[in-house]
Amino acid sequence: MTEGRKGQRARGLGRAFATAFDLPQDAVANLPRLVMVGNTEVRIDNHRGLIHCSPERVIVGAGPNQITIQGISLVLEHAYREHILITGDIRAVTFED
Amino acid sequence: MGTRQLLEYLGGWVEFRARGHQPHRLVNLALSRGIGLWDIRQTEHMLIARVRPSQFRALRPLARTAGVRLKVLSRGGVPFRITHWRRRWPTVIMLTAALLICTHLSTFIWFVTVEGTETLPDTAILSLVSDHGLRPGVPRRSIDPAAISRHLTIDEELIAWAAVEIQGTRAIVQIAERVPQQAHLWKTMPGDMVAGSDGLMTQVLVMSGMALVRAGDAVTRGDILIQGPAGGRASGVTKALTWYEAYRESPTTITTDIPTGNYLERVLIKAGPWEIILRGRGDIPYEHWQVAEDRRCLLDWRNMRVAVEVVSQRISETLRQVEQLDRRAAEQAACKDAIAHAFRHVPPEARIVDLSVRIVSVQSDVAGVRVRITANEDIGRFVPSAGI
Repeated sequence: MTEGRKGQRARGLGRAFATAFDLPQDAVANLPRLVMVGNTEVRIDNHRGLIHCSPERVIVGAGPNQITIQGISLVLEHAYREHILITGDIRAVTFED
Repeated sequence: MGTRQLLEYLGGWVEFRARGHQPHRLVNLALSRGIGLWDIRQTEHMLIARVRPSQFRALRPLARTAGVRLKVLSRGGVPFRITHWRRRWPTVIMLTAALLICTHLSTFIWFVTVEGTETLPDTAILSLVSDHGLRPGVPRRSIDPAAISRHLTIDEELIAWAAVEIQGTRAIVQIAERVPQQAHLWKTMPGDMVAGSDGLMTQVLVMSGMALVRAGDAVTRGDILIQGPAGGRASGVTKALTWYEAYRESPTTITTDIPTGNYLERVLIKAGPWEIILRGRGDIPYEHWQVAEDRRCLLDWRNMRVAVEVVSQRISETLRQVEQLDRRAAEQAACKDAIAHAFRHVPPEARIVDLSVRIVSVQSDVAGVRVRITANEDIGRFVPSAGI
């Protein structure tokens, strides 16, 4: 609980720092960066690993959240330490705590 | 094939299947060790993905940690292709040798075909082109189609037009023959006898028609000699003196370039009129020299050529020696050549009346000889009446 609060405070400070100095938040606050190409491709940088993978749903860890990508025929095109690329017919991208 | 697929193909890949309770744990473990995966497809208890061959070994302990079992499904890419062909080295050598032999053999002419002949036998044409260097087995580079075409029309008067086309290893000699007059029609046609060449009439003997010239008259080509009767055909003997001239030269000195042994080499790129020297010097420090060139066209396949070529030159210094010949011997050589040239145009049935030779010295180092042959021959040519 204490760790969670510390983490939240750190992230809050990071965001404030990034806002004050006009810096990218993904770099400073360690937040994921999502790049979508239409609804066929999504690239997630700064991820925290794969939690679930099926043709209908891919869940990727991303800092405090989990990113859930729902769709049809989803394929993990490639997965590297820095980024993950998911292709397919993407229907929804949601963030869950 | 995209860039990513190309890189994957070049680096090679191993496609594996991971079976277990939570196969995605293997992905996370692999990512944490810096092992990249791609084409990942997962069902509930199974995951199929591709990995670099060098990184597959590192996946084994991770699979044990993740509690999954690995099985290789397939392998592909350049490293596996190389291994595949390395085991079959005799085949590779034979294929390479066959390719090289085929490439080398394709630089020769292997077939010579004749098209368009009607009365002339193909063998005669093949024999003619063979005299000019076009025969099966000769290198394609040594063939000059334009020169051969030109020689064909000169050598064989029945050929009105000729063209030599090189298609790969095949040379096609296309011939258009002169249209032969139809003999039976020709003999019954009304018409006149006209002069086939300039001359001085020596004998006019009319068999049919009316003579328009007499012995002693000078006629020019195309003049009517015997006019045919109305609706009839002129015939007769129309002999005249005709002249055939030729001029030939022969040098009175022989210039010989003897290599001194000094040489320089240079490599340059030629593109039309421009040339860029890649290696070697631009100026040539010799007074006299000979150049041996090796030209390599960047693309020279069948009839496709690129104007850019790489030229390797070896410029050898030479010492020029000028040898003075006997002027009389040079004149005799020129005279012999001129007579042979003049006789080339004299018809075989003509009677030679006179042969005059005149030495013409235009330049000090050249002996010039003019030959004039006077012949007595029948110059009458039958020409059908106008309107027929």
